[in-house]
Amino acid sequence: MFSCEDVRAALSNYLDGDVSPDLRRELERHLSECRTCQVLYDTTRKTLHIVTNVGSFDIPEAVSEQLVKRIMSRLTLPPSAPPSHS
Amino acid sequence: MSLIPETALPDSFPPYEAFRQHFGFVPAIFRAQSLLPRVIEAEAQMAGAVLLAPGALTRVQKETILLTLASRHANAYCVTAHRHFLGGLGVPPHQLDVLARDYHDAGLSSADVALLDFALKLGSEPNFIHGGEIEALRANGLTDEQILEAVLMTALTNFLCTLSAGLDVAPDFELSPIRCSIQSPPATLASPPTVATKGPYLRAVVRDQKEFPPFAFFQEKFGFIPNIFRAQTLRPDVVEAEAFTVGTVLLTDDILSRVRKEFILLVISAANLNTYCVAVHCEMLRNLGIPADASDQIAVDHRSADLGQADKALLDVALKVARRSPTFGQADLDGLRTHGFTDPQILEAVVMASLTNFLNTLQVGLGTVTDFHPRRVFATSVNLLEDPAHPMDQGTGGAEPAGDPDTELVARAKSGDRGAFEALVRNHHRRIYRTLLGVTGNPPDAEDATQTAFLKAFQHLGDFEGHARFGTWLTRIAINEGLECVRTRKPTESLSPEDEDGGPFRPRLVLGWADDPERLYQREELRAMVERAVTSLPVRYRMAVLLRDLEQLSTAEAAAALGLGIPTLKTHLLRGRLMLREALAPHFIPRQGAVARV
Repeated sequence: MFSCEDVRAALSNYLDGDVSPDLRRELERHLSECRTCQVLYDTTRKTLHIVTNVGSFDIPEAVSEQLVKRIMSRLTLPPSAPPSHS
Repeated sequence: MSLIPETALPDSFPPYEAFRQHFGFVPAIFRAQSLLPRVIEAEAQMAGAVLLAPGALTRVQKETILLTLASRHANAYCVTAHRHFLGGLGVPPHQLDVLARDYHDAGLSSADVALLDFALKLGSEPNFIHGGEIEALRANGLTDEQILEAVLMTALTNFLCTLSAGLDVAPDFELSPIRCSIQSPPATLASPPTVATKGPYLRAVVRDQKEFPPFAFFQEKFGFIPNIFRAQTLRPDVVEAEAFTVGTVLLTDDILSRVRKEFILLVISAANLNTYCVAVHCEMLRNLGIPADASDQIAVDHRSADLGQADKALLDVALKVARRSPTFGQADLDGLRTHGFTDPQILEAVVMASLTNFLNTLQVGLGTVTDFHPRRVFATSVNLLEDPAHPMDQGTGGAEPAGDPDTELVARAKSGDRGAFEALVRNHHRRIYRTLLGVTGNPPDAEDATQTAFLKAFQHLGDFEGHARFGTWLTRIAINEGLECVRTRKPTESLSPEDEDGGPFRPRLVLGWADDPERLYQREELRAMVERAVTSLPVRYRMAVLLRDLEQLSTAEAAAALGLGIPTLKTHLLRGRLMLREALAPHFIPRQGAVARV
């Protein structure tokens, strides 16, 4: 029998569609019968949806252009130039 | 004073006599190891051969390598000691300050600067060393004998810095306020090398074990002569001192068992991504009756290996010492004492951690090829760095999909087209910045690390052969840069596994969420919430989540970029996702009991 522990271990792969057909059947049977695992599955799925779509850690446009310029200006320095200081 | 009690050794103890003769006193780092006199004997031989014996480099050149690298490591003990020695050799105080701060301003010859650039890079960022650097040193007029001595001095410095930090030895001299201002070893911003030179990098003299006792010793003890020693025969006296050290520190069984010492070597070498040393010590463990699968598991993650709690605690502390973790201290040693370890055993573990850093640094500098086929490749150099399709987890697949959209731009950039490199920067900098902000948690660090990652990619473009996608290779460089940044930052965060629970993660808040949770908050609020939750994850799980769920890399790409096998990546990802869910849950559970507790 498939336990809640087994579901937890396979949850991430299941969300990625990375499980064999047999394992998928077992998982789905368990999920249809176990409310706790259902909630865990549903909330983890929602977590990934939010994390993927909210635009976290995006670089502000002004910083983006400055950064490209900074990188390219360093490439033109002669080999003996001093290293970056911060 | 240090973390481990000392005992008085007689004035006539030969190493002490030798130290007094050469240095005028017995440095505290040696007195701190008086519980193990044989170890001090080995170290005296090593210091004698590598630092004090006349060779191709002058003593001032060698001491300067020690001072500058110790300064880069912010190691007060070694900085003060070697400032003192250089002062005694006639270097004026002002020049000592400049050397410790930034030797580029010290008016040194171009050959000396090249040597120090190389030593600093080898000593602090060994994963970026490649054969092209040795060629560049030769082009600066340096001989193979001189380069070998620079490699040895760099390895010795890493040994001494690890040891003095691991024992927390108080400096012999007054502290100097001068701090190294070099954030990262300088990138040579000339055209990147177009051909990667394979190791071993240096000329060596073929020696027969019949006429060279150290080789006969290795053959007898190990059943083979490791390539790392074959590559140093330009200095037979050094090989002799190393053989004595191996015999005295590693092969003895009276304090820590030989197997435990091999475990320390294995775990630290794996953490240092040193495939050569992992392969050698897996083989040695096999000869000691430890199956290859067990060694392999210990190398990858000793916490989930079939080891007792005491062994796991010992390896945790050894790793912390080897990484010179800013959070290392008395509490770690007390923890080992509660597991029943004695002071001499703890001392020997610290010495083993230091010796491992010595051997790892030495091997990278020499570029020796493995003596055995490695079961698992830990990316040790740029040559491997550019080839993450290497079978890290055999049988699990993991090659990246064919077709790299950057192929043409990379080819043009390699042939010197600046515009093509700029296009690569524009294509990837947002993504790299996002990942690095997730790793470092603060925008200025993310910007600096993004810049350095691109400069390093440019510098090593010649080594990139296209086995992986350019984007994956770049991500890998960026992550190393981000981790280095977090590691060197003052102890706001530790990367060490001791902060992370190795057992299965148990979700606690298993209550249903609102149907459309994103609608509960403004986008900016939501974004800040997610950023806080992601940056609160332990770094290894955070990186898996960043690459898979924010960057949307495939499992194979994320594993390759992190230098992990696919199964390990999946384990980290599962844990990271569950922890992230847990962190966000309080924001999305409806307050009015609309959902039953389950």
